[in-house]
Amino acid sequence: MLFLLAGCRQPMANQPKYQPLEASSFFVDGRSARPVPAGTVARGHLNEDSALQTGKINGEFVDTLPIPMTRVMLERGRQRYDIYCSPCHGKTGDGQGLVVVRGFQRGPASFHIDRLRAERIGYFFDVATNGFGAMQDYAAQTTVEDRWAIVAYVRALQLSQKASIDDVPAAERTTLERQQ
Amino acid sequence: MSTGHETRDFKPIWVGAFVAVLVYAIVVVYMFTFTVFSHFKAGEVTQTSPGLFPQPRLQIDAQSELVQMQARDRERLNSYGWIDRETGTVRIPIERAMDLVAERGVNGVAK
Repeated sequence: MLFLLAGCRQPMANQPKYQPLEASSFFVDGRSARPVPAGTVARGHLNEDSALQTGKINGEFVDTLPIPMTRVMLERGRQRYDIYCSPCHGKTGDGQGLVVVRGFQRGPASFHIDRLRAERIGYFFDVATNGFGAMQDYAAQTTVEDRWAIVAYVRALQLSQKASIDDVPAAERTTLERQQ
Repeated sequence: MSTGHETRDFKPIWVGAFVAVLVYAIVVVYMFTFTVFSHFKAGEVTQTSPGLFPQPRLQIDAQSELVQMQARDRERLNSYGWIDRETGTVRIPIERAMDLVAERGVNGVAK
């Protein structure tokens, strides 16, 4: 009896639909998965602001932030940096994160070397967006705004580890002067 | 009825023979094993002492290593200190640096 029941099929079992990437006899090119029509953009994928989306203008890295600089944004950048970047780059940005200390051979350079201190801000954004060397890209883990916040925070890290004595408040300066 | 051990079914010669074979077998097995062991010992790779492994080695105390690392980072990110007194280069707390960057923009970092 059960075997007989298994033989029954309702008309709905046969649906006129394509399985993913199934061949088609309807379209001329034989593909059921249709290519995106020319001149269209998927929702949320409009990259009209080159500086904001890629950190470049005409292939050159930008050297200013395309979003307004605020203290709140830097806080957000610090939080995202500590989550996504510090395991390799280290909390101080010296390239000695936990992963590197525990034996990762192709660790990142320190943010405090002269080359990276002189590098334009768009470069950091580009690396975070597309990866570099052994580093994967973080475009999926972070939003565009968060990545700009992160690179702005990297600038703060660079300043904090190599600042001028003029950046020290007067009260602290006297303490420093007394230090050996 | 005569006393003494039973002689009809029991032949001491077999016990003696069994013991002799047993001792012989023990000696042979011992010598065989010894030969095999010394044969493998010759081809054995000498093990590296654990102290000679390249860094990083096994973590003996992962917790304290992490605490040390965090303490070092905290020190560097939260205090003033000299880097080069001659050129007036210093380390400043990250909070102060963030204030300065917020004020001056991303290009306010001394090159």
